[in-house]
Amino acid sequence: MNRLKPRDVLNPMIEARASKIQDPVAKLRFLKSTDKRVGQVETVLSRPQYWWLRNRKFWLALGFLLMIPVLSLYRSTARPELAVPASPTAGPKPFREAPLEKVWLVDTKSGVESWSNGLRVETRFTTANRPREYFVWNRNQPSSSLTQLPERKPAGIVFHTTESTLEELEEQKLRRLKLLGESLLQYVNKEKAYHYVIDRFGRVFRIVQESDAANHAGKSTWADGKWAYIGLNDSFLAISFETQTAPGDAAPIISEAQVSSGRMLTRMLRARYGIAAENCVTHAQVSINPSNFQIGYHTDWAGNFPFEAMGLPDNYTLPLASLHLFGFNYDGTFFGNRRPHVEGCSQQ
Amino acid sequence: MMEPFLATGARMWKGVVSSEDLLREKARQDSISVAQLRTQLRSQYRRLSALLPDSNSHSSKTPDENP
Repeated sequence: MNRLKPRDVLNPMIEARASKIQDPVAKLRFLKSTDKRVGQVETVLSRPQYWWLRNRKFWLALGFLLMIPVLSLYRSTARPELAVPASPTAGPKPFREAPLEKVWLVDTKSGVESWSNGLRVETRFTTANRPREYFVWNRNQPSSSLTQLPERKPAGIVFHTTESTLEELEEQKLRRLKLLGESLLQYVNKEKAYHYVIDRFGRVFRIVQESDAANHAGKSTWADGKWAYIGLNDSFLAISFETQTAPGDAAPIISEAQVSSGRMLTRMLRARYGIAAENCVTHAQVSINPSNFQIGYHTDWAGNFPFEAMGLPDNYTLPLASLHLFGFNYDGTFFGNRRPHVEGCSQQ
Repeated sequence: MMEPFLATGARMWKGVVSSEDLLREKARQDSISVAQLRTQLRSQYRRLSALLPDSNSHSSKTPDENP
């Protein structure tokens, strides 16, 4: 094969340059721009008059000719390099997960479940939906079909924000806070929108029972080491925080009580169903729009979800299945777009 | 005009970058362009989506119907 592809030559250089860019945004912009430029180079070089530039023998001969003067100048004065012990790097501390302890139901009184890890779940808004039924794809066997696993337990958790109207968390605003919370719960109950909602006071409400699917993720994908999931309404549980997504890297609007309850709830669900940490992700990470093959149709918790406070590793670092397994893409709107979630509720 | 890179935070971009790295590595292994690989992967997605039963909400809802 004497035909040379420009991409074969340019890709290692692009990779080397990209690996030195620390800032993820700068890296993404660099990769995007180089993709375009390489495409332009390929277009030009595909013209017949440049056949010699595509010829591998031509480049080998040129390289050989250039090596002759270099080799003649080389003297065997090169000193062996001293082996320098690698200095310890001050990188981020690796996440060390505590073993998942068993969590069990202590008792149920007046519509409130008490769990052994301190979690309390209110059940007065609980509703049924269709039973959970989902199919998975073995990502390690690309030509395989979908498979239904024998057990129908949830495979993961998607964290949402309700994007509903918020009031300042102050004692004087109690009446309004309760009114907003109650109207939110009625709305999500009617829509069967999530499995759990954690209100501003950190109270946990079960909405759709765990054995059923909830209408929470819409078009969505995720993958762990073995399985890829398409449509997470059935395969993943939904925990929604009564809050709105803060833009960019701004601090999340979430009370300490919500964080504490979220941690206990996540722990309970993971322990009961053996849910892997890598399958606990935000809606922004899984949401897609197949009509234009863009990611991030919904962007709730797109950058400031407190994974660590939930007892989870920083799952924002995980690659998005939609991008690397299913060929979705992103553009400027992914980074600048926000869509309200519970519009109907905020209008009530 | 809306400032790009506004809604999503830098932590989220790390996942996007690592996805890009995986995609480029796969394209390199297969000796095809990233664009060609994306086209192949999209066909894969369409094939699998078509296999989903109607009861699965993914195939029966549009993005606008998301909660």
